[in-house]
Amino acid sequence: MASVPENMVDIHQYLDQHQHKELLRFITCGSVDDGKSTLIGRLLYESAFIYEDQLASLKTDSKKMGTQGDDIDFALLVDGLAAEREQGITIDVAYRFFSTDKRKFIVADTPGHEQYTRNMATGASTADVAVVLVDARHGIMTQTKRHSMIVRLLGVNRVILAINKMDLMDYSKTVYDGIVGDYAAFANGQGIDFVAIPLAALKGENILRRGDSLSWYDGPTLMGYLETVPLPVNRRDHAFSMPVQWVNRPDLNFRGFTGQITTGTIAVGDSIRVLPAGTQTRVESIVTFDGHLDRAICGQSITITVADDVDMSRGDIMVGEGHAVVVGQRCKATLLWMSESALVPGKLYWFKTRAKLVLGRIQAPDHLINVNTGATMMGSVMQVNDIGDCVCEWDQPIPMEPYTSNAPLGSFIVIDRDTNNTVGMGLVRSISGQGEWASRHVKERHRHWSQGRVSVTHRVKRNRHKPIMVVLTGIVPRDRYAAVGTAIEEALFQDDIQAYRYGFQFMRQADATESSIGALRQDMFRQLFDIGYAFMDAGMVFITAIRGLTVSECHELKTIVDPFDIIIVDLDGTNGMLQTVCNADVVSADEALPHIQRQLRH
Amino acid sequence: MSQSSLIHTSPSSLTHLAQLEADSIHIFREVVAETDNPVMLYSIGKDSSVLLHIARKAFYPAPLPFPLMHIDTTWKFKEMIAFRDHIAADYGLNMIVYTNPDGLERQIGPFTHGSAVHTDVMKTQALKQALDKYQFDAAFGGARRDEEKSRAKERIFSFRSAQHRWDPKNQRPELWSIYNTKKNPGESIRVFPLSNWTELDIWQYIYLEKIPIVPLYLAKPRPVVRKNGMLIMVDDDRMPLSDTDVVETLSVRFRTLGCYPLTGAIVSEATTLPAIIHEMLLTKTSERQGRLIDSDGGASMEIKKQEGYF
Repeated sequence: MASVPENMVDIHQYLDQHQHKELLRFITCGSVDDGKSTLIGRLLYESAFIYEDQLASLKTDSKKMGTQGDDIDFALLVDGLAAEREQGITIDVAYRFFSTDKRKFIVADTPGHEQYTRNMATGASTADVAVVLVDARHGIMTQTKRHSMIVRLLGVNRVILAINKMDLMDYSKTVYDGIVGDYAAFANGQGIDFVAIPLAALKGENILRRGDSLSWYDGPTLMGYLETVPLPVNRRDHAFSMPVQWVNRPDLNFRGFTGQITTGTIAVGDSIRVLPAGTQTRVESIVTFDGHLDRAICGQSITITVADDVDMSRGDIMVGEGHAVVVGQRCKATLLWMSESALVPGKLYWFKTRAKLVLGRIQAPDHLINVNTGATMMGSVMQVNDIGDCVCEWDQPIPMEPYTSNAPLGSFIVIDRDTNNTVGMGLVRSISGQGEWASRHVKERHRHWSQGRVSVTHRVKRNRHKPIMVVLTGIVPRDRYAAVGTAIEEALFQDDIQAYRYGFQFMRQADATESSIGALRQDMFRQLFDIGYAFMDAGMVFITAIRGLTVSECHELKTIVDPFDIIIVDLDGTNGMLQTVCNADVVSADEALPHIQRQLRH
Repeated sequence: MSQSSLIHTSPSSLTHLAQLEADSIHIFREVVAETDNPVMLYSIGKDSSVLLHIARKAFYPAPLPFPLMHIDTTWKFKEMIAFRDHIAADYGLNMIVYTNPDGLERQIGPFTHGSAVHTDVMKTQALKQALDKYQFDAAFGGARRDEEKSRAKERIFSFRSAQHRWDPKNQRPELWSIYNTKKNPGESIRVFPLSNWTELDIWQYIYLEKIPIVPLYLAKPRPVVRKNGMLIMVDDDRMPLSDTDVVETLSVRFRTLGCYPLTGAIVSEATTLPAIIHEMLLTKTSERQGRLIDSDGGASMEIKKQEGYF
């Protein structure tokens, strides 16, 4: 409990002590009715962070709406929304604050109901420690495992398994040991490091003070543990990185780059690189309202001026020596889907990273993660609250680092362009360059290709038109690809063009030996365009469709069918970036036919 | 300018106040980078003073890239208005002062119309009118999560419909420090950079950073009358005094500041910041209790917020 100073000499001591306290952020999570809100109510009450008027209205509310008879219902203190108090459940994260002599705490009380998992993730994304509550009567539930999984995915490595309501199980050590054993079987397989503490939150036992009925337990109380658990390793020891947040340019004489340091430290004179461009420069000064600094550390919000007149703007990232940031346009990420509308693979979404907002697409998940077992399972659709590994791709190269080594630069949110809602969160696992496999494949093909005596040039002369590949793309119903493709094929045929529409859509079913959907799509892609390459080598127009063609696939496509021309027909009007980024020839469905006809005779 | 006393207490890690300050600066810059027409709502209180101080830090050496706006109900303490004008002139701020012209014409006031009507017309409606008039798409406010239980649930970036309503059951997830600022047509964002600060943090920061505050926060002999169990200061002659009202001169101060007829004083001898903090640690009454608006029902603040109250 935080002791209150007696006099004015003490107040200065107290302030000095408070000023130097460490900050620990933790969340409480677990199944519905495990007593999370009650636990926090207790923590606040016993740390004297409930005021008299709050206590008075709590007593009134407890009689009116509480579930504890004439006793105080501490849950009502935390469940602040009217709907929550009515239904007796927690819908959204509540943030509470208290401090002891040793530490200041920010606690996020997160909802247990599965439909509010996204709110739970909101609380977990900023936490250092997670308190996972379990009802001693029920043991480990699906939600216990789900929350533990989310917590681990978000890099919260310290879990306290708080086994609550021990009073209802006669404080039985056997019950406690059984639950600890069950959880360990799950947690050890997931790499979750945990300590277990038996509690009776309603009675305040093992919260601050030890419970007499739990004499067989000799570990720390919950508060005792929270006060002493080591803070997570500071990102200070990592190489310097800072996204440019805003360029401060009040007049022609000052140009400062503002941001909050995400990792490492920086000092005046240090050499830095600006990503993605890779430009090198030096730190000239570190400017703050409180004067110039010689050095700044992770977490500080600063303004940097640099020695050279380099091009740098919002979204660029400054990095120091020894950094591990990779510039890439494509990554593998673990996604938690948060929208009632399922993920649409290939659809254009906004991605917001710590640095900037970009457009991009997500491929169908390679696999989903079963939160009960932690095992991977096949599945191509991501519904609300699903967790899965997907390939994501952006319309431009961005600097990123895997989440495990640099969380701020390895995380992003996904925003739906129609609703503007945050629909997903992603943690970068690996970043890759583009189209390496396509170049390898072309090399192989050249090595094994046997050229005949009739060349493409002869065929062009005979046919009186060039060979071209026409690719229909967008996210539209399947029959729309067929309708447009068939119409183009027919019109060209009538016009004496050697055209063929290849309408075989679902090769992946035919040859489903590969394990991940990403790999299947790549395989299907390679097969399709190899066939297309052969048709064009035969002098023909090859018409096909690829649902949700991505920027890097477009690069790969160009590599595979080089030297032939490609025309991309944009069926839903979202594929402008294939033109701007890949320099592809993109036309709308309406303009497609005349454009193809012009190009054929070109 | 001297080096900050906060940040350099340790060369290798930030104190919790330095962390809170840096996170708040990040939020300010994010809004300026991503919205078209932000404004800072300035209430003249201690939280606004901290908010303004951090905003100046965020954009230094540039001047503030947005205006401040004060919704003047015409019933604020005289010392608040004097302080506002002094700060605006001293820092060279673009300070918009807005009063509901309709309410002014109808002479709405807390004594004649009651606190509910007064707050609705002169504060809530006035704020909506002003936001519409200037087409602000983001508004900074100094609210903290420790103040009140529905605020404890609110996101740092909190969206309002075109009618300025808050939908507490349908808040966007807010992950890490990545803020989604995408708005639907007509929507605006209320942004609360001080969300994770506590009352103690605010006072300690004011003390350490030597931030100017309205003198009403410090105890001084002031004329007060007892109304509905609260000590109301006689700030001007609009205060109706009956024969039974006794104007006493007591050493009082205010924990929060608003319209003087609606803001209760507390008896206090605390004339310095450490003394205030000391009193606060001993007090067992929460900050918003001095305000009439919160106490008419458990979910009162939530409802007012849904209706557009800040």
